[in-house]
Amino acid sequence: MTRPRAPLALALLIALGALLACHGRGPDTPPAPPAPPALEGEGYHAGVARADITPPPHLALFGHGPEGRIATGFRLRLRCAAFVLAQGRELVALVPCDLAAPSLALHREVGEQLARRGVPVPLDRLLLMATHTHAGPAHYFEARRYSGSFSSYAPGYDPRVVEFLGERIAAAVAEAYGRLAPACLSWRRDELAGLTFNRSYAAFARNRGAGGGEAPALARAAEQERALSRGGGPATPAAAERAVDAEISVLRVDARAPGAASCGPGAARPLGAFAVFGMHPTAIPNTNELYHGDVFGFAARAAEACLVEGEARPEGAPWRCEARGPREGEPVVGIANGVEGDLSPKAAFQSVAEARRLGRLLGRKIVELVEDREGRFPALARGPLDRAYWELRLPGARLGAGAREALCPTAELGVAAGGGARDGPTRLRLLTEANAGYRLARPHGCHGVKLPLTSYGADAEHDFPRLGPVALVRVAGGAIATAPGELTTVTGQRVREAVRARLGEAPAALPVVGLTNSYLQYFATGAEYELQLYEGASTLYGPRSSDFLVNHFGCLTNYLVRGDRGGCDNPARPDAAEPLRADPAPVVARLPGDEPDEAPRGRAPIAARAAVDGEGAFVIEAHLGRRPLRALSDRRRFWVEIRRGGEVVDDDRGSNVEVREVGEGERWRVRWQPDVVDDAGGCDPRCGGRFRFVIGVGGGAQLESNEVELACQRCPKGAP
Amino acid sequence: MGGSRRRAWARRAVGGGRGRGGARFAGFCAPALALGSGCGLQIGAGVAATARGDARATTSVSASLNAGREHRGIVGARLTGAYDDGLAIRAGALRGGYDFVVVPGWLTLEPAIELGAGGPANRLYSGTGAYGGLAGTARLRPLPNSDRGPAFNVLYFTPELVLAPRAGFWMAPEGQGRGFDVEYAGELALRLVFGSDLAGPPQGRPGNDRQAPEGAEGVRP
Repeated sequence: MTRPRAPLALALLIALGALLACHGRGPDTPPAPPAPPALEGEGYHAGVARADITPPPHLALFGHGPEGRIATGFRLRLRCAAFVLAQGRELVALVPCDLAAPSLALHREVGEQLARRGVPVPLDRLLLMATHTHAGPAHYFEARRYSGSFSSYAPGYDPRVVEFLGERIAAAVAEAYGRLAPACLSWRRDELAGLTFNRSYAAFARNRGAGGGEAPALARAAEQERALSRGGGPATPAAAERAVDAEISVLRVDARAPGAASCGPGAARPLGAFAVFGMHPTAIPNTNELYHGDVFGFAARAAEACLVEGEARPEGAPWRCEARGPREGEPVVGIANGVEGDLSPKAAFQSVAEARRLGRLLGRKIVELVEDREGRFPALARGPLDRAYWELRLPGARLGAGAREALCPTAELGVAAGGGARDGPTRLRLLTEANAGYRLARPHGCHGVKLPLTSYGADAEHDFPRLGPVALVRVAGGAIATAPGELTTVTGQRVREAVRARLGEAPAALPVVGLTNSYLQYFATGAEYELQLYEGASTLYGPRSSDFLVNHFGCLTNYLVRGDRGGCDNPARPDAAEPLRADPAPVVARLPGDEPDEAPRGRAPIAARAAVDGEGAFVIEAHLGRRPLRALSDRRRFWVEIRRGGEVVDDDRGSNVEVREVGEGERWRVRWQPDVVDDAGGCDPRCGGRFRFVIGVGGGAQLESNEVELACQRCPKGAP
Repeated sequence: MGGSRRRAWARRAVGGGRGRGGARFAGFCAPALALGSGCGLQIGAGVAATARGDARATTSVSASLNAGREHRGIVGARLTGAYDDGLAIRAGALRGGYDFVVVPGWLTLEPAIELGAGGPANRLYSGTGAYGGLAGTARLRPLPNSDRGPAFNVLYFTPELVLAPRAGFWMAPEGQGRGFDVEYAGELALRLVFGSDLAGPPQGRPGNDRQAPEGAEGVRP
């Protein structure tokens, strides 16, 4: 009787195994999409697209901890740019987004949605980059500390927010994939000084003599210090401004005629540009209540507008290109954040005006590099396109044989980070311990001088991410290194040197992009860590975190160039996504539902007249129906246009329109604040013109305001 | 900040967003937190005996402040019941003492003086007598907790195993028997400790401390 049972038992075991295997896959391991198809023709192919990822209002803003407000509207709609680059069977998607940080949950969600759409962009080829705006939504982080108490004003993880963002980002990647066509690619690189300063200069300066001599920023800062203060005095602003990674890199993407084997002079208007620059986009203060792209939002829009006007703008003409909403077929500019961990924007004070000023400077530089009027940068129709991707397992990971050559077994946030950085202080600063620099007198355990911030319910398994995705992409003679967090200036420069030294040839550009695919907070060097300023206290896996990252970028480069792992024995599987063992909590419902909007129907008279407010902006308060919250995230259901006569001169996709809820979802304040050029350089042609709001709500309703004159201080009416 | 926002903030800050039970306990212990201490809720069982009567099984419930990371004075209160024809409350006492943190995160000794009212566990008399005595409590934290090393703990709960011997004199009510009876008691108890480092002793030094570790430049203003 036993023999007949053996096959039955085996079959049952196999069935059970299959069931468990299916169960184990869960939502964290989406089905692998098909391999990228061989593209028609040879050489580089590229597709670009843009997505609006502005969520409905009432989500918490992420980035300022408990100081973050609840969103009541938007100023710069949040966007993603998708750049899909391909050659032969190799493909990579670069996706910079106006988010505070990426999360692995979101990365996996985008991958899953792409797989459902049949778009062959697997997880190891999907690089989701956050601009680090501190005015993006919360609620999509699987790590509990990022969705728990003190993470934002209204904590919680909402799977529908993940789904919402994932769907829109996946749609953009799919659209870019669908537009893959022969392309020319060209790197441009320069320095852009004067926009940032090192906010933790004391920590930065400690890298001298600590193996940090290879960092150019250290040498520059030291030189400046010597010039200004013989014998070393207090840090001067000028030295702090030179203690930065000011490199800006731009990958210009142009269409190439099918069959063309080479690239001639670039067209005046490219398909798009992928730019990398390091800066904390915190020019908007933490009292802000609107979704906002901050400096990078302004910069991308300004660059797009200037590129459109490029052909008509004579050399040396004033930069007046206004950041209005983009049109179909116009260039897509996406900006990823670079080495920015300790770099604050050099703003006179935190305000929308300063964010716009800095954004325009950054946008102008991007345009200069894209246009390359001197023809310094050659475009390539073909060349290498390859990449390596590891999701490093961080707890206790080793970087050498010595006893101290390891990351800490658990991630801990230092209490000194609780009060926030200098450009985003939190109310926790009333506690002495929560101020930058608070540290133990004597190092204790793996975390050294860090005093861990913990609480009841802390869960080492789920509080912080345990995987650290790193990637290296070689394309068009340059390379892009991506890291899962914020790199201080010296860490970033060490990463760049580690990669450059192993690539074998000087790359045309080597941008180091932070905040990609996951968020491990900061990577401060060991010397910086000892001071426990904001960046050191936010370095989660202990004082060797920076060394670990630099070491593994060296190994990753070896793997890409030579195929071996170069002494790094992290158990991460090369070029594969690791299982995401997440248990987010608390799970909440924050995304407004799909309740029917009670918006006005048909053409209705506007409820209030437009006027000019104290800042010279056009403003109108309008009754737009009951709770059109979901509509605000969908431009088919809610839009704002500014018209002069019959011509649409601006809309809410640009940088000038602000929409804010002022009355329980029924009354909304809409402002139009154009960046008027009204100085000795010339008059803005809009001065003295008469403009009106046209607001679309719901199914076809359209509200029109009275006309208001745009008054300028110096320019006569209507005189350009 | 509006009133409702303030209340929400307080709920998150004190209750940790972990349910109403935690918030109630937090409310109970809030004064203790303000004093830079933790507090404990203890329930125990044991025996009590006097020279004039049989030993009785007892159960006590007590609440008191307690030290976290450093020695400190404490105050508390105890209610003790005895099993006779069922459980009846026999005595209540207030205590004042001092917590000696012998091994941080592991062992604390808590000598205290108690003053109370009621009667001995073995019911030597009816009416309300007066009590004065000494208690020597040893508290052991068996589970890992952040007090064993440096950490800034916003809020924590941890259980403690408590050995609670005590001895004291009962003075009978007027007209009932002789003046004083000595009572000895010992209980084994479980204490739930609620604490925070929010107002606790400093564990490190601020960034502008000029006695920073060697090589550090301190934080410039």
